[in-house]
Amino acid sequence: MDQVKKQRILVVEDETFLRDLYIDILKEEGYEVDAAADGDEGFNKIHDGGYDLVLLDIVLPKRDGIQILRDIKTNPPVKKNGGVLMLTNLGQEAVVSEGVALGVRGHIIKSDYTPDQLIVEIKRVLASNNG
Amino acid sequence: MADITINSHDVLGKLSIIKNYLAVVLEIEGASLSPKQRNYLNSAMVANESLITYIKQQSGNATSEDVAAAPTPAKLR
Repeated sequence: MDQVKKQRILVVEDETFLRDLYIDILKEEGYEVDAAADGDEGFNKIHDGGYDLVLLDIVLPKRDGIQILRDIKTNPPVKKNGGVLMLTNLGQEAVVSEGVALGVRGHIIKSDYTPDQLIVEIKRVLASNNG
Repeated sequence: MADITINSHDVLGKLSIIKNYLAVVLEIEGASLSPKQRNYLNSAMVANESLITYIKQQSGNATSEDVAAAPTPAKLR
C-alpha cells in the first residue's frame, strides 16, 4: 500500500522549552519534524532543504533569522523549501518588512499565539504551497 | 539598591513559553481536568496574559487590540 508522504517542517528556535513543545504538537498533528537550536544549524538545514515549511525564530545565537534569510538568497538551498514563517516576540515592523522582502509567507508573534492557533497558521501556509 | 534592567524581548520569550504550555494543557487536556484544576490553570493563564500585555505596553508594542483582548477567566475554557 502506498504511504502518504508526511510533510516536513523545520523548527529553528533557540528556546529549548518552546522548541520541544512545537516539536511535540507538530508530531501529534502528523508532520515530520526537524529542529535547529541556533542560527548556524538552522542555516545549514535550510540550505540542505526539502522542507515543506520552516518556522524561523528571528533572535537566534550565532546567526539571526534575517541573516539566515539573506544568506539563503545568496546561497540557495540544495533542495527547494516551501514557505517560511517568522517567529518573533514583538511586533517589530522593520524586521517583519525585511523578512517579507526576503520572501517569508508571514510572521507569528509568539506571545500572541497558542499552539492551536499556530497549527491553524501552519496549515494555511502549507495549503498555499500547493495553491 | 541595585537597578534591575529587564530586556522586554527576553521576558516576553519566557512568558510565551508559559502561555504555550498552559494553553496545551487547557486546550488539549482540558476535558480530562477537574473544574478546580481548570480554574487554577485559567487563573495562571490570565495572570500570564496580563503580564504579556503589561510588558508590551511598557516597551511601546501594545496595540488597543492587545489591551482589549487581555483575557478574563470567562473567556477561557
